Amino acid sequence: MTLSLRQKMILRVGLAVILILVISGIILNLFVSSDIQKGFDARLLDGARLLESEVVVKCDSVVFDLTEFHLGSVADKDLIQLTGPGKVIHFRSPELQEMTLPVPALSAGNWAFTNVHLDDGVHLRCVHLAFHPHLGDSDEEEDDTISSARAQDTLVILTIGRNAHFLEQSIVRIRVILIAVAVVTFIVLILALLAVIGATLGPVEDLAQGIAGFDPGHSGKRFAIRGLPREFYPVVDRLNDLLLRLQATLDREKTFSADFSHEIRTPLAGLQSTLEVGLLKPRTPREYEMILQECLGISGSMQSITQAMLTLKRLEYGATTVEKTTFPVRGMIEDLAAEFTAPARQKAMSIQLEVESDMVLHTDRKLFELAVRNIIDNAISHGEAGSTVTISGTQTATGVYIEVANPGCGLSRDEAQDLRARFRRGDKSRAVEGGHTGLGLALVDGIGKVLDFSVVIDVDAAGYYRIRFEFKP
Amino acid sequence: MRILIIEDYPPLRNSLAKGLREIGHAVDATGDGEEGKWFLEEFDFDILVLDLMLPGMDGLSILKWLRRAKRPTRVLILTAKDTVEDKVRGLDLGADDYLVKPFAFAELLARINVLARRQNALDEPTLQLGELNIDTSNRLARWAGNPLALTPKEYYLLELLVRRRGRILSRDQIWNSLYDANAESNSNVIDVFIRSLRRKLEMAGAPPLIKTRRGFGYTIEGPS
Repeated sequence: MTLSLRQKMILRVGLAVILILVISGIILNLFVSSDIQKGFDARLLDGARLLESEVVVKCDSVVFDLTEFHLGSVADKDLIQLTGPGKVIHFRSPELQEMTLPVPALSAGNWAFTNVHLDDGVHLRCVHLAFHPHLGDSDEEEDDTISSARAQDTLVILTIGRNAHFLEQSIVRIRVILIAVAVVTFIVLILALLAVIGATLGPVEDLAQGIAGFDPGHSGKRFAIRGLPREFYPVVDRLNDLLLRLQATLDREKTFSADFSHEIRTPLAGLQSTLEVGLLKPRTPREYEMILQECLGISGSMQSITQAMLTLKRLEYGATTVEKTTFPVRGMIEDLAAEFTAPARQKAMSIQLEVESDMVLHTDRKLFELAVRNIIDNAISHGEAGSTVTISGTQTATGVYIEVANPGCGLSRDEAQDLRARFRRGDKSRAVEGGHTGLGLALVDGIGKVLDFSVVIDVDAAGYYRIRFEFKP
Repeated sequence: MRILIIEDYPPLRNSLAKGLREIGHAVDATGDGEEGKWFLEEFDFDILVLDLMLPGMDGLSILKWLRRAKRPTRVLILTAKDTVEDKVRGLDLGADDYLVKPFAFAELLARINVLARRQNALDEPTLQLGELNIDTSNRLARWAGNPLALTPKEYYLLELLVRRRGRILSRDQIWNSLYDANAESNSNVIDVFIRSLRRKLEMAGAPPLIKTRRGFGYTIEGPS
């Protein structure tokens, strides 16, 4: 059975309280019972000492005369027995009739306490006091020395037995009181415990309920720290931090899905309408071929969007394998520039290389090539017809810098920064031919994060659009 | 019907223009907002098929300008934005209809037909002139229940004349309704179509419905 924190605390504290109460009750009971017992015994012994003076040796016999004795510590219901040497009973209370109280062996001046259960069920607490009786006044003339010697030889044991019923009753009463106090204490403690635990755990339970009832669709929720125990502060802080990240991720995903859906709808509409219009009437094989070529072009642009999105997702989720090698930068840039010679020529554009010949980079070549290719592609596609795209590269003590610059982008500095957002295009449309997805700079940024270089976008006063890759040690 | 398409994605723009032309509409198409506005300033269009995200001038700005200029052109917004807010915004700004990409070409045609009827203040998809019946949904003309074998241009010419019955339409007006801005103007083509229409109606047993007003143009007369 799984217990709640509140139940566990109540159960454990309750058990601890019961244990403490039981142990303290037992100890208290022992002390109090012992004290009562000692008091009882002390009074019995006091009585025996008082009676001791009434026992005398007179004319070779032990005389125990209570006629002039005033009962003080000795209750009139106490049973008295005087045992002489050879277990001879010199005195016995009439209530004992013929019964003899058992007497332990004692030396003079010592005493002992025993419990005796009479046949009628009465429980007696007995004190036995051993002593040599003093010499009493004798009617006959005798040698005092001899009498004194006899008295010294005579060892008597005075036994006083007192009904222990009241003692037992007292002890039982004490126990009942102790148990009652323990029960009341337990109830009060449990009630106090419930109130304290309730007040203490209330905010924790609210937090737990809040977490249990958390709807991932409403990631804007935050948990309050106020009222919580200090130990929970880092937990709630971390939870709120995670929620913040979750919200950012969900927002990004939502935006991305909406953007992707938006972007893919247009080529899909183009594909559908091209096919439907193609089927409006019978056509020549040449016309069908052109329609299929058109559809192929559209599917190519859809593939570009999908591919770019998948690459971006892999970069974001760290699923891209990075294989770093050291390679000369100039050779890589020359290869890339060669790829764009034909499209540049179509716009009467030229590509100028200003890359130091001994520059080397230690990074993932394929990924970095993808980033630079995107930027050169953008520069050719969006650059002014007849202009020159300049690719420069320098290596200094502060790092390696590679820059692609082209004039006539027509963007302000702020607008250029905005291009980092996914599906953002310089001309806000798909008017530029060539399957541009609007993901290029987002992709470059993503590669930069994985390969640890920064991408700086700038538009200078002369209207030059510059993108710089900065590798800093 | 004269239709202007302003859509920046070339394959979609080209296929829509091609499809609409093939069924007889006069279609102009552009991918640039500024150029689209120029078309609207220079020519009268019955229907404007308008994308929202455009280079030059965005679709909503064109729509605002069109409504401020009190042009009667019916506007069908064609966009990938599918949220209710986007639709409400477009319709609030004066669009007549909203079609979310991707769409079926047949649906686009149906919506264009609805807008055309609204443009001509017609509730029913059929036009009636005596025994002449024109089903605008299926682009089919009948005389006394018998279908007339008309080419798309002949059909739209007949529909244009019937829609504006009793009014004289000049050759230029007819030309502008049947041909896009790129077509080379040739008023003799209109005369050829009129002759052909008269012949087909006569063969079907109809009286001479289309009248010539010398120096002005053509009109069609007859009971509703």
